[in-house]
Amino acid sequence: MAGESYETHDYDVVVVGAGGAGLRAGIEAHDKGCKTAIICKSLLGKAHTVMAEGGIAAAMGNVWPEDNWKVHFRDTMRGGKLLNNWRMAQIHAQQAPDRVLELEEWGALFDRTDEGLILQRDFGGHRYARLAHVGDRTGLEMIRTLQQRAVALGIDVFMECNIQHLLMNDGRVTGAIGYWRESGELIVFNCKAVVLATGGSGKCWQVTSNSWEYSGDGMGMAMEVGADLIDMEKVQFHPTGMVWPPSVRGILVTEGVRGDGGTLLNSEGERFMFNYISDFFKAETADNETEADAWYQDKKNNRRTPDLLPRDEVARAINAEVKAGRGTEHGGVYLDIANRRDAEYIMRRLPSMYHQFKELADVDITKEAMEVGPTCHYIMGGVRVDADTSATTVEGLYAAGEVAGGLHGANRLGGNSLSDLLVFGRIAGGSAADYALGAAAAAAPDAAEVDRLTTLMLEPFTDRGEENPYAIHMDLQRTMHNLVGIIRTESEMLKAMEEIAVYKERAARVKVEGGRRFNPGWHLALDLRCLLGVAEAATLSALECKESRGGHTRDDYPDPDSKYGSVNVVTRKQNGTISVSLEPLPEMPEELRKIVEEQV
Amino acid sequence: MEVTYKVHREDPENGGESSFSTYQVDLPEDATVLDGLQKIRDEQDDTLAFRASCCQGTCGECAVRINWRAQFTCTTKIADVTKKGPEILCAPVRNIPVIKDLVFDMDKFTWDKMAAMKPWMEPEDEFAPTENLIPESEMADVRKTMSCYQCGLCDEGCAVLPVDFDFLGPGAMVKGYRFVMDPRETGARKEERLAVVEQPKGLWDCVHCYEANGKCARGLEPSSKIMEMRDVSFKHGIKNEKVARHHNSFINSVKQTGWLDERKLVMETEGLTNIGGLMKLVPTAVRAMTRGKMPGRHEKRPGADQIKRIIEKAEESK
Repeated sequence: MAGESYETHDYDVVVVGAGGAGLRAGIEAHDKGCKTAIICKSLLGKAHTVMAEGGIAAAMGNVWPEDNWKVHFRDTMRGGKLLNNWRMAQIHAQQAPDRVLELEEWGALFDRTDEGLILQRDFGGHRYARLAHVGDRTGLEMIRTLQQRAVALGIDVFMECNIQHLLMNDGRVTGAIGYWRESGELIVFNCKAVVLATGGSGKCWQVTSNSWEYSGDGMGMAMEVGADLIDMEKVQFHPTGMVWPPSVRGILVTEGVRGDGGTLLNSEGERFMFNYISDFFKAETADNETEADAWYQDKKNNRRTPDLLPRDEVARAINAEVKAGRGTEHGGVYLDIANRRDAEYIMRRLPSMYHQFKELADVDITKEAMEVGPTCHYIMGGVRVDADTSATTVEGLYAAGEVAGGLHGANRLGGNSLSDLLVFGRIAGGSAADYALGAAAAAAPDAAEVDRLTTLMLEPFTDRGEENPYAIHMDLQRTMHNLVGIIRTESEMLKAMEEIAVYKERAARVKVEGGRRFNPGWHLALDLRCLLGVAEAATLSALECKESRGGHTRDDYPDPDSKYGSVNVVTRKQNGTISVSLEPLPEMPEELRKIVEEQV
Repeated sequence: MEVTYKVHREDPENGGESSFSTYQVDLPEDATVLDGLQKIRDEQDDTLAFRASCCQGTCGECAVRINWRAQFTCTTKIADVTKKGPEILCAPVRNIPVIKDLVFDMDKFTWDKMAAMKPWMEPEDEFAPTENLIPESEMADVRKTMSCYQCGLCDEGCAVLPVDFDFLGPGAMVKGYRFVMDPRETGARKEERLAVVEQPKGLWDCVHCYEANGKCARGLEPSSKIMEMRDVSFKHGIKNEKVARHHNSFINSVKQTGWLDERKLVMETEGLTNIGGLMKLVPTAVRAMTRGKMPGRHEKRPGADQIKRIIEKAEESK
């Protein structure tokens, strides 16, 4: 099949992914004078950002003047169990407010305080009400604003175009190759720099809030060209996903429900979160219902409700309640706002949640409690980047958003994802542009390498076996759910490694029917490569990390171990095999350490 | 429960003939139509093309006609569409070209038309991190339209698009509304916004059939939003010259004679100095005359003065 035809495009900067990070990166690279392309595998404006509900964390101090970047920085570091890259957390907290205001300059319109300022809401792990929001569909307003800004600037957008491999020349990334979903035709980009903004890999797991796009493309492609990944074992299971009916299992229930007064109950009607306050958060968390309820109105004189502990703590608590036999009929716990807030308030604050439960579960959340349980939501780990430039360990390759690791440490706080996209999307786009403007023109792609990759991409059409890509994907999801899920143990993960090896062999025997035009079987057959690669990296990291912390819980090592308290678990692919090593985190400056350790 | 899916197939690669494929699927009672499509694709026919992303009614990517009624596959339960029989028919939405099977061309819908609304704001000068003060009460009008899915369901119901695909359509108009009504767009910027929605093939080409109101999954009432923008436009002075002439001719005719003088209306709408435009009316006039359909001349009718006073009162009260 050598000599397969393909179209070629030349750009300075190519951004892969068009969620919040990709769009913000593309806008920045364009503003710096680079010829820029934004490539997205689904339709423009349908990326995962559109599903984000709660808000953008930014210490604007509109509701609580006491709030500032230092408090946000402290919350982020403590929420991440201090495994965060301190410099990323600092830049993030300092720059987030400007990124929110910038969105309004481009057309976004957030909810308002009585004074007409941008309103901010409470979320888990944030000391003050800090999330700028639009009802419970903040992501939709954010992605519309960014996509419309990109269109206004005339940036070239390649919709439903799926990038499969990065192209290298002389040790630097100089392009990318993929296919158009609509026509099945192949496409090559020549460029000076690539920004990965492809999101996460939640589709490796069975119960997930993630949509089909989240197949770990960026992490997989970065690994293929030798870039480092860090902390791939740190997976966030969001405590509140829908559990019933089965077809909607895993769909997200926003933390905003608890931020706006909702509370978690077990089958005995007990507010069980009071039994799960870890020592780390004892000083700042209410230990009785009266104080917890009073906190919503008066944050100065009361401590935060344990319902809003960081996500890893709440997810583990729910898991434990269900295991102890105090779960609901369908294996979750109750999340009740109906008995705590009036219907008008619920409808105004949580309109999407109301419709979601009404349509999908036939539950009226203004009258009844919801049933919820943990769902795979976010990967804290990802491609290793430099904090100030978002550069990966490979020249010419940048990464921002969920695909990158470091900012969130062992556990991400709600609301810190949208701000991450804006802050580091801008930085990655800017750095890629600076690099591209100073770099020599990219050499034309090596014809033999392009031939090799086109052959690889079209292999599923050849007669090589009878495997169905969907069956392999479902098997992989089941393996990861059962053996590398919320609670892990060595023997199970070793079994997972054996099963993944089998799936890799089966993936090489996938045969798809039909032609190349919008052929979903072929699309998944190609996505399997990154899905399997990321699943393997996550399992290997999880085996290596023999402790429990944040989004990584080991049944066989249930406590934190200081050995892992100041290192990244690094995965790196060399000569076809993935190696795992522990490498020290950058040292935090003394003045920042003081902020983090300060008791409040 | 056992259901029969009858799914539209069309693949330009194989000649582009449109047909239906039939599949038997066993699904739980509470399954959605999307669950069934995915099961067919995963187990029976992996060439079946359809779009779906969030699977929770947030992204608006999965609009399909189910038993001829356009809906989202991810929020439509099979139990609700099989009450009259176990067959579920899936066809692509109308008014938007098909790429393959149930997949339609969002470029034509989303970008060409939405972008014509210029749905963005231009920062006045260098970025200055200061905040706009906006009372919450002023957001009520725009808040709802901000949640548009851009799914295409409203255009699917449009009565104009089948005869004029260049009509911007209710979807783009809702996007226009979101900026026309934005509390920050005042003064000259508001006038510019109105000129954008009033462009040819825009605001004034809607035939107010109100179909889009019934189609919108978010309940945004696109048809009503078009009418609200027309009201705003009246208040600010209609920007589309042809429509302004039509509007003035209509009112003047009724005011002066108590009748609508259709001959005058047609000519004044084109513009009495617009020779080219008037010439284009000649064949129609000739055809009307030869068939005896030429409207007659209207003398001032009895009671015309009262009609005039009613109109003037109505104009004052606006």
